[in-house]
Amino acid sequence: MSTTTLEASGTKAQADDASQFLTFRLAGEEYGLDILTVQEIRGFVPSTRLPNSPEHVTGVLNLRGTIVPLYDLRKMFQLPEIEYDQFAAIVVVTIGTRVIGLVVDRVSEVITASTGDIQPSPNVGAAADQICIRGILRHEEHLVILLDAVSLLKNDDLDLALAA
Amino acid sequence: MGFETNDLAQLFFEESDEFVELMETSLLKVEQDGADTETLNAIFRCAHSIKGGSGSMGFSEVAMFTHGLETLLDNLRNGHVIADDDITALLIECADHLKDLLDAARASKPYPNSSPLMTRLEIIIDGGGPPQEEEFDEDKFRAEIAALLAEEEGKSAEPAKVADFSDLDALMDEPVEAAAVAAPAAAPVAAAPVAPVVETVAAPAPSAAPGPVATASAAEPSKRPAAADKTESQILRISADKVDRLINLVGELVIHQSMLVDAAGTTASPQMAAAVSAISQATRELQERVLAVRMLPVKQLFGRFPRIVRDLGRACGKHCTLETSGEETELDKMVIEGLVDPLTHLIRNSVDHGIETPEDRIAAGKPESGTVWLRARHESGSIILEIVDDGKGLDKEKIVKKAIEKGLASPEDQLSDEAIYAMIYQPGFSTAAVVSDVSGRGVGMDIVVQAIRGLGGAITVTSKLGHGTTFRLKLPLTMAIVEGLTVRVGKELYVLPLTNIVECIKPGADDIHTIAGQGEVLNLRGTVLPVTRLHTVFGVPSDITEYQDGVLVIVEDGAKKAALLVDELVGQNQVVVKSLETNYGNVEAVAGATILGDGKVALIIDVAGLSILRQASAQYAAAA
Repeated sequence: MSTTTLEASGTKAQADDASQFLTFRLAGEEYGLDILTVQEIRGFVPSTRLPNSPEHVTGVLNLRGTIVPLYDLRKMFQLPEIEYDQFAAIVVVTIGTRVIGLVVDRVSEVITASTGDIQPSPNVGAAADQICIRGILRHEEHLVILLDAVSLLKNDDLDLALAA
Repeated sequence: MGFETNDLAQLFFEESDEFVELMETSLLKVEQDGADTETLNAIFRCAHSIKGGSGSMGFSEVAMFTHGLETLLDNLRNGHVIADDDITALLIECADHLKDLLDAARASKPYPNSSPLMTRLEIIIDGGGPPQEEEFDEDKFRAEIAALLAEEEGKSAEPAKVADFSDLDALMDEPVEAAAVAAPAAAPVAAAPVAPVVETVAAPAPSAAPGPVATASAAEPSKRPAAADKTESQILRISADKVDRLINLVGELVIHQSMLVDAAGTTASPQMAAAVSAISQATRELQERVLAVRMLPVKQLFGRFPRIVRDLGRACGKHCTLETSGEETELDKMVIEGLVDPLTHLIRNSVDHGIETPEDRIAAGKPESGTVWLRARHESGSIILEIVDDGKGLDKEKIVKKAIEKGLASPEDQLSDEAIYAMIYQPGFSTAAVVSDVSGRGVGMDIVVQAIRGLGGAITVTSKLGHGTTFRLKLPLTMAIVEGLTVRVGKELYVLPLTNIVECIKPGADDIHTIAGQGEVLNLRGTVLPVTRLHTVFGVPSDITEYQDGVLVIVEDGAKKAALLVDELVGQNQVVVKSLETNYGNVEAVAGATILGDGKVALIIDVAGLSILRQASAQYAAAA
């Protein structure tokens, strides 16, 4: 994934109000995050458990000298837990001034979509409720659930001073 | 080198702040010990430098006032005017006013009115000696600056000279007045103090050689400016950010180096082993050196207090002096910054509530003038700061009475001295309300204690009624590194800061007793300590359930002690403290995280935050 090409196509797409999304899989479903919030993608590695913390915060990781908390999206969305395999990845996102890692089953691709293609999500009473979901995007033959990174943290019990 | 005007202005203000501070310190010295030529010269040089700088920066109001001040100082130097108490007091007022002027200039606000002080200055100047020029004469002033420049042109050829305003003048005039031709050496030398704003230009080669002292931040005045002390080593101003990034990277380097050592250990050829050992040595030294960059002597911190003691003493009608020692002791810049408020509060307390009025002191058979001592020293990897006064001491009876009133203790309680003194740390238990009638200053001792704990330190107080009070602060050398004991709890590793550890013991079966069937205590050579299992605190599955199978680590926070059960002691080493809060938030009983030799994260335990120790502090409340 070359950053230069991303940026180039990003500028072109700007004209028709388009954004790019990084898509990833979670329990057979396709999810997407605004590419601008994504800092990097790493392979899944076991982390250090954080005691006395919400269950979906599985631990902390050393990311080149900074301590980054890991949020398990399966646990957050109350999806069945699995043993993570070699495809599992950590999507490192920057939210305001914070850097956090999101654990996903595997990373898929980067897609471009115009804002007009995004439909509001119907309320289906899922754990990943309206707050986290920015909308549903129809991409080729499947649906991508677009997540709002900022709201992921807003749901958190901790008082996260969001700079966003 | 593209210098922006506001960069130069920033430099001017920083330097001026240092000069005003130095002026103030010197004036206080004059007030105490009388005027000697050397001190007067130092004050004069400060005023002179500020005048020169402000003139060239176009702050004419500042220049004009400093000019008047300088004239009086010159008369003092010449002996035309004698420095009596009134004049010293006037000069201190002038220094304050100068500070206000500089603040106004910095904020581009209207200047405070200088004329009343100017008039007073002029009266003394006129009455005390041959008439001097009183009006600010721009031409003459320019001429003086030119003369100054000419003087500096010669001086700046000296390679090891520390840049001061004169260089600033030279720089200013380079583009503006072609007349001032700086000597070739002047440009690189002058570049050093501009470092915070310009990309750090390499220091001139000859002076960079043996350990140049670098200060951690642009905002913090480094050491005394050159005008005051020509013997200072050369100083480079660097923003704290850059240093922190360096420290972070070096931390990473250390981790990778230890991984390399592990890897080489299994496969090593002799050449490889030699190279690895050389790298290890260099890395370790690099880390030490980089961390030392953040260390500053406490001198600056102490420097602000003589004035506070003087002013407060006058305001309360007490005679009081401050004596300091151990100013050269070095502390992390962050710790120093964090100490300003708590120390100010403690020292104010000592003067306000500790030291008695002159009449009371004489009646008690003490010298009329009270003394507050502020001492710093190293003690086994920590820094000890003591604030000692020879005042009336804490009145235990009054404290207990107050505690009973507040429901913090009951009349039947047999409280130890420690427990009684610890009461003054309770929120809302201001010393003012207990020890004297003078109203509190809005910040209770609890805030002081919190601030000290926030710095990873501890505070204890001892007192003798009628003889004085001692506050003792134990602080870590740096907040970036903690000397820690790594312990295993279940399958997890935790780090306990060594400053909190008293000792480690292997308990016998009959050392542990239960109290009322629930709480457990350790009988440690007759002292009873609360004890807890760390694996339950952190929710770690562990094979160890019985105390005698593991190790008990006795920890303390201030006067409170407790015993923690861990599975095993792993080792003792220095760990770099990383914040959890930057990207996450506070975790109960966790002070931060660190990266172990294998790149994994281990959590550092916040001993003061452990509920067992918090309960220990709540015992007074529970007893009521």
